[in-house]
Amino acid sequence: MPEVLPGWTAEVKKLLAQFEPSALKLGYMPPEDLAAIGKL
Amino acid sequence: MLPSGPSSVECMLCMQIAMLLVLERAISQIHSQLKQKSAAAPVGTATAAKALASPGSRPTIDGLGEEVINPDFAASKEWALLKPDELQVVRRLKAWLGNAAFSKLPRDLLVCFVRGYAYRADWAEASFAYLDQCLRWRDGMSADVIALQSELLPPKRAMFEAIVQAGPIGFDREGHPVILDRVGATDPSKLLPNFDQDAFMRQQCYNRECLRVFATANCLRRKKRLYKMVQVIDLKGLGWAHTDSQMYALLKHYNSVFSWNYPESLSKIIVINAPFVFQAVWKMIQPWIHPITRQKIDINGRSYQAVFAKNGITLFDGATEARHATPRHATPRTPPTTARRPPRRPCVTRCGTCAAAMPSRH
Repeated sequence: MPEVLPGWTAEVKKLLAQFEPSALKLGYMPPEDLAAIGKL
Repeated sequence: MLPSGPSSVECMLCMQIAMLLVLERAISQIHSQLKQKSAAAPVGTATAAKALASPGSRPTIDGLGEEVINPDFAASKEWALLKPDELQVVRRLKAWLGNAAFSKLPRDLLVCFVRGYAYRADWAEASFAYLDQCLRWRDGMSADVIALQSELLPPKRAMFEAIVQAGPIGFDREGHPVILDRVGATDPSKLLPNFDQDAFMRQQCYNRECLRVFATANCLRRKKRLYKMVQVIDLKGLGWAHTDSQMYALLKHYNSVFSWNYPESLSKIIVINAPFVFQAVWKMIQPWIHPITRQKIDINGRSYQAVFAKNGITLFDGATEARHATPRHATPRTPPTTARRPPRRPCVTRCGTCAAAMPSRH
């Protein structure tokens, strides 16, 4: 078990350097579901 | 050598926890009976509630009937595509919310609220009523962007993270994030003077939204929908201070708010370093806990490695995702073409991220 946790702020900072914030804001949904919901 | 027995402090601590739980249970039962009586009474409020739940109107929590379990209910796997009946519920939610609000709705939350109430006979109505309540809470907290905009970072954040230690430590067999919460190491004498209830809730909202960001990134890497987590609660350091009434009230409020606003978010709870007597108390309080929730909880002492192995939990090296977040794993801001992607190499760390990205290499 790790002795020191980096903390959520540091974790998210790393992720924001790798992903577009807009992609993270809306959450994930499989493309098939997105297409099915788009037809509703 | 035989393990030493529980100390008197541990006994008293657990007795106090048990008594608080008994008290809470009794209050809940009284509250539930009062609710049933008021629902049964043929007064104007009941009529109004039915009117609110009539077709076409937006359902409200007060307008929902008593919880009736749908006998045909079967839980869906997180990663399974939405079934026709689930899409029907989505269609009704969209109609109630309106196109503008629906388009802004986080997709993971939508699925959590649809699947979180699938066991109810009034599935769509319950999903909407609780989702609507959640969206109002999220607006007040700026929850959609709190983790993404640096200016919304809660005050005294560094201090909070030092006192309330929490964060991701690995993945389980299915790819769920494994989150460690060092509850026992949280010092109430430092927490309570610095964070009142509102400040504590804002910090915890930030935590949960960071977890949503982490989970979304995990899904994007794996191309697999995973909205649940494995929560590891470390009780090492649990003591008298944690039974303080102010601390108890804080945690109770936190639980009541977050359990409604983040449904379907737990795959498993693994308690570790639980005092010996805590395990006995757990056996006593089990009947009060919902069977579905009870199955997800595993209480352990110092020996928890077997439980981790049973759940296929792999820890990060050094406890941080950053060690594994090299360019070859991550989805970069500009997706690379096939020609630009570096050749795949066998992963030596056998982390969950690599396992998902390069299954053929393991």
